[in-house]
Amino acid sequence: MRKAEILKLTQNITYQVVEDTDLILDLFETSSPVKLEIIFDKPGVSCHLIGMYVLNDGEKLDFTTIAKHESRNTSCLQDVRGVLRDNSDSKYIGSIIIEENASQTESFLDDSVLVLGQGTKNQSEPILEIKNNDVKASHGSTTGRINEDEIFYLQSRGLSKKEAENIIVEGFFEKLLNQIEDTTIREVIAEKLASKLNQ
Amino acid sequence: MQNIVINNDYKEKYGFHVDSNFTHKAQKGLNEDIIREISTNKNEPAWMLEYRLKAYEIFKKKKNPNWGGNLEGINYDEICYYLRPTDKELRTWEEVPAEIKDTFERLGVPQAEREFLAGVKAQFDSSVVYSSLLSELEEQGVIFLSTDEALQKYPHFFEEYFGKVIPAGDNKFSALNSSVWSGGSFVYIPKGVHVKRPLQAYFRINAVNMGQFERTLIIADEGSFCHYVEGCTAPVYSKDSLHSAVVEVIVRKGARFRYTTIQNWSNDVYNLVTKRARVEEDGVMEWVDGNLGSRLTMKYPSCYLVGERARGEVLSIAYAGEHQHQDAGAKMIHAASNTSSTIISKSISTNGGKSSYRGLVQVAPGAKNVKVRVECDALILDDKSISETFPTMKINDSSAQIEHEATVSKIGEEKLFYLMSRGLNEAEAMSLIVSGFIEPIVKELPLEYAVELNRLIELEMEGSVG
Repeated sequence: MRKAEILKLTQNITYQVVEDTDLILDLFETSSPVKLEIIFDKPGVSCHLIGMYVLNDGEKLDFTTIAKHESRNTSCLQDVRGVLRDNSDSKYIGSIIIEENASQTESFLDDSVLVLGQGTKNQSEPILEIKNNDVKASHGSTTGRINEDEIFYLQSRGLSKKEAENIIVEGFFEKLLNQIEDTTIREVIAEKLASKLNQ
Repeated sequence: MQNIVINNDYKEKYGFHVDSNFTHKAQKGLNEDIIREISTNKNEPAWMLEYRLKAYEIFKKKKNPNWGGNLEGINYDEICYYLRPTDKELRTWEEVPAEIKDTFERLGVPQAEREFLAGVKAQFDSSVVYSSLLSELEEQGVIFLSTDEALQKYPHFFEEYFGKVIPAGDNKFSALNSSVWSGGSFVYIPKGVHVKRPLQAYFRINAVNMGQFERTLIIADEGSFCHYVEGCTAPVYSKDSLHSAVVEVIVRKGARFRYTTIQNWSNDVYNLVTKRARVEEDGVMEWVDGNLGSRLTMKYPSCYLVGERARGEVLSIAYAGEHQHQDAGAKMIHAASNTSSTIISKSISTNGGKSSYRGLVQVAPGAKNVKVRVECDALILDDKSISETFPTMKINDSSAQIEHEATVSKIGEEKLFYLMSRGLNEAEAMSLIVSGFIEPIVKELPLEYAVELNRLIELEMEGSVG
């Protein structure tokens, strides 16, 4: 099994990938702007970064993740998903940097924000800095409001609005939760998400 | 494997230089006297001189931007800020001096299908030397003049709109342009008028160290429709020259305006342009932007969507070759509800060139149901070249739907292999793939520009080892 680790992002962290690793971000206690730099300076290693967050009324989150490829044949996937409730404010900078000698790098970033509340603010900055042509790199970033049709459908099946929302949010996070192979870590994160959602 | 020589035969094909007999050549460097001289020579109203002087004060105070490209090569004291080749503006082609005609002849302007073009505006150095307008347009009440001439004839438009979309203090280069602007086009499309054929302007720098500071002001009145096209090629010189234009577009209620630019500056030009459109209710603004050549381009066409249901679109291509940096992008400011925008950007970096996409999408609080789609694709053709993407999305309303996607890749070996197995050599195969890559934007260009752009790309790709 791959190495898996929870990273509590409460201060700036530089993480060196030495073997194939799953990194799961704990953003639940992040209060000030923080930065995670993932360094790939050993050939052939890979990393899957998974980050999930829920911002309740008036909460703020400001974080940066950087995948820095300095060696050959490394790969990285950054998967970040967030839910915004009333008056919350999120800022996420997701960077992919591929240096000159880092050929055969594959690096991707996927950043999705699901907006539930009103008066939200969201700033997304997905960045690519590519200095080598023998690479595959891309990012996708979406911000969208929860689908009212889906809520309506669930409500017509007897669910309250809150329950309907929760089901959709669960589905939104489930895609990433299922990718956490380490069951202990998955449960810890799932529990934290659930308690945040029920606040 | 892929060693693409950029512009190796540029000099023969585009880099010709015809001597000009300048009737008026201002000295190098900038000071208040030069600005007064420009204004006096142009016989401008007093408020314009005042505006220029104020802008000059702002220019002196502002610093070069500390982001984007390297601007250290610009020496503001070595630049000529104003000159013009002939004293008066010419109405018919016959009156145009032979040497200037020769330059345009080689650029293909006179041959450009006249029927297809609504009018020819050719900027030779700092003033427009030739302008023609089809009588059809005149009958429709369309005004298409050099900005200098328009200021004389229609000062009320200038009092109302000049410097309103892009104030002098917007950035250092808009301040510079506001203080020394000369030439450019003024376009007014009256209410409900549909201009069927594209209006065309042809720009060209033709003097060593000549700064070009054209100023374009376009007003598309309610319910009108027009397509405006500008294209550039410039001769090769060893000294750096600066091109810093300001383009202001006002799209009134229900109007639709498309602004197409194909720029192919020679490799020593700094191209620092501010382009912005204000789009009112139900208006549509489209920027189609092709950047080839130049040493450094910094250009981010913008749409300020201030009316409900306004729409903005930017389609851009950048091609960065040896010693070139294309720092291009787009800005979409959504200030009203139900506004939408699309940005599609394609860049190609080769032979050590660097291309950057720098974009901003901003949704104001209270602007409901905004929809945005951004797509940036970059192609890197060799291992010396660089590609960067810096998009910023500031979404301050909870109802917005934003999608952003970017990819960076090289030309797939399997695609090359397939085409080569069909009998193409490597250079031809690469050229074909690049043409395919930019196709979504090229197809939006008027025919002759599409042909020209494809020809330019082929030319740039020539000499690739294959």
